[in-house]
Amino acid sequence: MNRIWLIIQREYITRVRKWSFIVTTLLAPLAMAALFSSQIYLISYSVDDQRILVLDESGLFRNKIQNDSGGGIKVFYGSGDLSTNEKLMENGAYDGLLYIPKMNLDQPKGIQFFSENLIGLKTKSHLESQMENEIRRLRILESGLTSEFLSQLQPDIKIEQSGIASGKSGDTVIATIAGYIMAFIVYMVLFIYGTMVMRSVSEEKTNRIVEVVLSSIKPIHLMLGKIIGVGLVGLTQFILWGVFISITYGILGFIFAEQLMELQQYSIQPGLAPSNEAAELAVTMQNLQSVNWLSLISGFLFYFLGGYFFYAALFAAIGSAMGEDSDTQSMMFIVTAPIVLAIFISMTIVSAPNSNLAIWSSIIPFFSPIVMTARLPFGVPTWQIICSVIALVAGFIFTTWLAARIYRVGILIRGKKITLREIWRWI
Amino acid sequence: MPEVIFDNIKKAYAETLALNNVSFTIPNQKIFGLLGPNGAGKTTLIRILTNIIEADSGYIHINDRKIRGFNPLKFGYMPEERGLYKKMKVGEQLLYLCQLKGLSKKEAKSKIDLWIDKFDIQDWWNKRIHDLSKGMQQKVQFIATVCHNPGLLILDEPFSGLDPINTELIKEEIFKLAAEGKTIIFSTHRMEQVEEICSHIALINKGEMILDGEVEALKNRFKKNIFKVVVDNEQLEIKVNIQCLKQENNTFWFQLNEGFTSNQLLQSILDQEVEIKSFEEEYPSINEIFIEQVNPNRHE
Repeated sequence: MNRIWLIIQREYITRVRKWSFIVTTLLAPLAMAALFSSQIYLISYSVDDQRILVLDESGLFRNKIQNDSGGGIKVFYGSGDLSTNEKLMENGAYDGLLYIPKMNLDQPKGIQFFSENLIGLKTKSHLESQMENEIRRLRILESGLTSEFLSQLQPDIKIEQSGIASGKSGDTVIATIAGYIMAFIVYMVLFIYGTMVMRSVSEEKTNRIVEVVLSSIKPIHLMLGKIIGVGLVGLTQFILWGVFISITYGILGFIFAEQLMELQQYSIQPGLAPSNEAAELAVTMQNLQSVNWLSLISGFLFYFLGGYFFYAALFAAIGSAMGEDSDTQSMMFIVTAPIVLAIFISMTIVSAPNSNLAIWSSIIPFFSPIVMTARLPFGVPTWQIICSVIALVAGFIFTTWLAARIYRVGILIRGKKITLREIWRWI
Repeated sequence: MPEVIFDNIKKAYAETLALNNVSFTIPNQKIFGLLGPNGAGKTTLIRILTNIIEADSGYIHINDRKIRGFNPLKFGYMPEERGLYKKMKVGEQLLYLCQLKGLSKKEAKSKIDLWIDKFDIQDWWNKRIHDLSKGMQQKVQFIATVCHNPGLLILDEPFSGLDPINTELIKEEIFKLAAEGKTIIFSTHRMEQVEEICSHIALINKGEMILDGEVEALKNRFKKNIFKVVVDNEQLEIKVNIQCLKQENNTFWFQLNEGFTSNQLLQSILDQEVEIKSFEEEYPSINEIFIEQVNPNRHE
């Protein structure tokens, strides 16, 4: 036991002291933030801002058609006749020309759009809805109603979901994002720390130090010590990241205390909000606070560690079979393929978290560490969690046993290429 | 200090029989040579003794204690292909390996300091292994093997890759350790080193035991009654029926047949008008004994 502890210590300390560990621990949260915001950016923003020139001969819509910053649409107002404006567009100064002829409110017809290329659906529907809103507003005003009355009429409907299993009110968007992020983190952990174990094993083998070490300790203890040591490095890194994020959150909370207070007000009385977006944000914030973070984080930690132990043992086995130059890609593939498959599954199941695929893949230990973490925020029935936990614990006991049998032979074989058939014989 | 007896050790890998009922005794406080060509089974035997693998059958007796499986003896093992953690510093590496041997950190530190002083390498403590030359790494490896003061030392090809100066240095240390009463197992395929260092040997080939015993006794047992004579003349006529095996200038080799003594040979030379520069019996080298034992037909 004492000696396993020594192995763990060495694996842990030599890694944590490394410059690369310190740098990644500090920079990874920034890189992750950049990665996710760029993803969100790519999803929600069109490629380039569209510059739309509006020639409004009716005079009804001047300054009423708004930019759509989210959709990348910028609106400019032109003057003069249609042909001069058309020239402006053809010169490339604008991407499109919206021509609104003289019209009356009862018959808004003859609106045309000119562009070199076909207009995007998003742009079209944005322009249409802006004009429809304005015409509706004008028509209502014409009928004698006041604008105050109008804003009171404006309803704000949001479907609020209750996860049956968790018994908490939830938000699909938050669940999707949280699920995706957590699954992605577990995916990264399996890869980064799994290959770290693999490299560490094969390094000891090619270094020959393994014989010296094995004369003092049993192979399975050396392997376990290594897996636990590297696992603790991963855990340390995540705890540090958690601390950094909480500190950042705390600092932001302090800086934007006033705005947050206001937002909280809006979530109680959405009518006070200056815009729909603000009200929505307020509700999202409120939902974020209503998420059962404790159970979510403990679930995440379990699958993080369980998945790590399940796969690290397999990676260790591969590392032990590796030679200096032997081709291990095919062996690597056996272990990495289910991990990659799992992240694909979890990408699809965030839109259908209770499908059969989701249920089964979150119980099978090859996939459960990633798929189940993706499902956790949606609320998962207790029986599925119990099955999944048991399967994963049994799974990593099995992979450790299996890996130990491969490891103790593989680690001592040198100077020849090891085939899968041979490995099978060792088991 | 231990006496180690291998008793009918058998070990097979998938298709090959690595050791076939190997038995021999490693006497207490001696330098013992484990000899055999590459692939003879030396490393397998050592790995069994060092708990790295288990024998399929057979026992090891240590000081009359029968051991099956784990060998609880305090030993130091230097494997053939040396290995250290390349990126670790010398000091922490030695501490780690020493602690793995069961020493506390404090004990380990004081023991290592003794050796560091002995080799006069105090300024290496914070150097990383990959910044050291091969000879320097060997010294570190040697310290790692001996610093926990084991009664039994197992050195697998300890001189491979060493330059003559470092070979001498390590050799000296091995003799010192032997003089302190440690039992040393020295495994090699280089027979000439054995005669210089070992007092006892065991010869194995292809997993089979060939012979074992004291070096001098073995040489006596396999001697061929050959005498080397150096005289001041290139002509030498022997009257009695003694065969001259070969001649190189003034040096002659004679083999005594059954019934003749060395005195008869000497007398026959004295009868001639030559001056004898030297007269000695020639013993076979371990290498010759080995070749003869492995291929008994080759020399007939």
